Amino acid sequence: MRTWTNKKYIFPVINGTILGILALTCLAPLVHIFAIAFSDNNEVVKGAVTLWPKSFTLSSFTFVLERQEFWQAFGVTLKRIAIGLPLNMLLTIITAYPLSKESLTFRPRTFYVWFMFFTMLFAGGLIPTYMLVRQLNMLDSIWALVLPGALQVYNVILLLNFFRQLPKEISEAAYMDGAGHWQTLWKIYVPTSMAALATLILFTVVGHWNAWFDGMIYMNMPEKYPLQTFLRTVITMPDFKYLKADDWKNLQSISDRTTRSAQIIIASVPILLVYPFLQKYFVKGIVLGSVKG
Amino acid sequence: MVNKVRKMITILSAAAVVSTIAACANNTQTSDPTATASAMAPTESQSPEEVKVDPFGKYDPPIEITFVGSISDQFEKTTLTDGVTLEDNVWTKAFLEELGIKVKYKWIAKSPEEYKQKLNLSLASGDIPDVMTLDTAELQSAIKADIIQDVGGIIEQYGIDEVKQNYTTYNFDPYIAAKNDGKIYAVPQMWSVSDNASGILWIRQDWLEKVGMTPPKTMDDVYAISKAFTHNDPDGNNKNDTFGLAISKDYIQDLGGLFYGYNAYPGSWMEKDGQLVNGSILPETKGVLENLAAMYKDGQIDPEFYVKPADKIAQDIASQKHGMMYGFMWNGIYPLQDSRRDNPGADWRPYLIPAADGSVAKPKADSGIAGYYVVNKNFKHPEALVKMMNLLKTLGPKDPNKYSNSADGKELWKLSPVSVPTLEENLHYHKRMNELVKSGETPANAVEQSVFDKVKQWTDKKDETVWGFYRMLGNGGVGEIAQAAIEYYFDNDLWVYNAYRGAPTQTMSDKGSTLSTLESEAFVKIITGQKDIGEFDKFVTEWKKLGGDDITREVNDWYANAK
Repeated sequence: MRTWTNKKYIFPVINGTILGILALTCLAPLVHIFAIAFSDNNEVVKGAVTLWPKSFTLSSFTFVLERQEFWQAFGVTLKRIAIGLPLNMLLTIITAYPLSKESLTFRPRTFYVWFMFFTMLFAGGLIPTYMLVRQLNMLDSIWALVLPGALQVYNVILLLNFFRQLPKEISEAAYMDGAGHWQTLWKIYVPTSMAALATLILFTVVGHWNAWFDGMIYMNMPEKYPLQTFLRTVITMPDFKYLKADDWKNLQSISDRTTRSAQIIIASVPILLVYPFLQKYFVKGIVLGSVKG
Repeated sequence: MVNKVRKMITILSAAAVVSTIAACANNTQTSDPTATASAMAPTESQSPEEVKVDPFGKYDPPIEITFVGSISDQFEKTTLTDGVTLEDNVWTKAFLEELGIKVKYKWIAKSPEEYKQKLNLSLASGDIPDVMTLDTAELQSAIKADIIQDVGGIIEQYGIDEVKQNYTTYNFDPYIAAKNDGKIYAVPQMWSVSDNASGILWIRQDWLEKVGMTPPKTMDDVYAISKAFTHNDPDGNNKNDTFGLAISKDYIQDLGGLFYGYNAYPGSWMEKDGQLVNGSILPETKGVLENLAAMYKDGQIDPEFYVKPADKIAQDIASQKHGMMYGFMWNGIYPLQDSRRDNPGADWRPYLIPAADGSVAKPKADSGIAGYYVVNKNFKHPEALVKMMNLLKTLGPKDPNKYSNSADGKELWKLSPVSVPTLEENLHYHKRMNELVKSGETPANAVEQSVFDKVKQWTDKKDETVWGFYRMLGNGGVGEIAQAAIEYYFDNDLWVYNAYRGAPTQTMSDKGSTLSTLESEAFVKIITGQKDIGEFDKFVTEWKKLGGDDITREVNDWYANAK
């Protein structure tokens, strides 16, 4: 009897332990950053701060909050999400809908799907992409951050598969009632796909929020950097091996780890807040799918 | 979404960038025949017979020069405030008013690494500014791609004496890497050779006293101090928690001085019997590694040094774990200043590097060149660059508070896209401080005054924030001030230069990273005792086989030509 119960629990226990350790390794650096941000710089420089703040202070936060460049970058990121998110979602929805139809209804469907799939595997590369953006006069504008990635094929495929598993009868019924494609899409497909759309919204928002590389190469002036690009310039270490000229003068700022951590925290809080809001759609989505299946 | 683009971009970027420079750049040139044609003869038209040479000649109507810029977070915080930008500041105003030059930026990067990335994009897409700064390797690709012009002799022709002087201060030819087919394609940006030279041995005086020892005169003294600092509890906390010598994973650089003590220069090219040889594979280096292995075994070196980056070691220094390190003249400012936050008794002192034979070691000097100014082939006024340098050298000293370094810590000289540093400036101020203190004179100008005030702030008021600054260039001698040691090296002509001054050779670019991995693996294994010293000879054979011999041949070919 006892051995039987032991066996029953052996998997959950091991599973829980491994997942727990994984979660902790992800959480620990974050907690460490938190602890540093709220500590006095002298303690941090000594390396005395690990997981709990020492000599608690908010001074680094007040410093960051007063920093104009930080808010400027924050503004750019908000702007890119404000433009990028609706644009991404619109393009993804109107691309996924026709592609979710059968080849009989929409003839070139197979061609388009393969064509798009091809772009997932092969890209033009950094320099051609950069040159294209430059020739289109998008350098230094918000469009360089929004347009090149406005249609994500991965998202399209995700959504078109979701559309396909919706019962065909619904759209046929709508058709019988006189709805055209536009009406079917916006009145039937979109409302019934909230779970998938919520996922895509999350992907898109997080993607825009975390992107730094495009900001760095497409923005010519640092005042136009989005938040993550700005943060990167603040937190990256100079390479000690290749110190040149008066680079050493910048080393003084290395010791300033508290303000750097404070900026990381302020920059990650908003995106962490998005998750709970979208959470309910995920739960609903899972339930919805299982019933239908 | 953007994630994916970024991923693809990053993967493709690293390899693609350099190799495409030539191809793309040529492309743009041919696609624009008018530009190429007009650019064919810029140098001829500027020959002395046709143009009256006026070092401060004003352009009327004003011309526009595009640059690319680089700023740091620190600089942004201190200097780019109150509406001051790189394009609108005291210097750009001066350039426009005095010389008729409008300064524009194509782009501005916020870190050296970012500068490189953006520069590579610019070069690869053929969209380069009129004037930019390149490193040796980039300079070579730009010459090959034929996108920059011959600027030979413009310093001599247009430069005022204060500018020309920078190019003759040191006894090496600054143009050596810029030469190609008898033409000179760049104006080097000269820099103090001592600034980033590992020429100082920093030791904690309070620890020395605690263990009852005196500053080292020979290599054996250094080992004795290291031993005492490890085992004799120099911090007096009754715990065995200190080390003898602070080194990080960049140990070759951190230990520069220790190697120099044995005339070993790993990673540099040295002349031996008329041939250049790489310091990493010489027996001198082997000997030092053997000593390090012994120190490691005795616990005098942090057992995890080979995984600790420099800023981690800085933390250990701040938490009073180390009492001795080889380093630079500016180490007082970072990281040693940090060790005083917690313990103002941490009395680090800068000493000359002792040599094994009891004399003073010959430290390796920095290259003395911070970068190369190159001028776009299509730009018609290459001399404007020199005129800007002239103005910098005239206005800067005249009103330093407005143009060089303000009293409240603004680095105003960096607001100009071009800079002409005063070579060995720190040494100059150190000498002046000694003179001023001795003679009781008042400082001669505003900059001197501000340096003097800062030094006084330490000597009179013991203001902790300027301790590192004082240790760098205040008044005093060897053992008190780092620049005093630098002065000694200059006075006794002890500096050693890397004999190879060319761009990375083909094999260096192809095999360089393999070879350095091989080297650091072998060295770490020897130091940590995983392998005995016999491993060194195996490393040398391997190194030669994996491309080292080819590199040596290429380097010597270059050397034969350069001589």
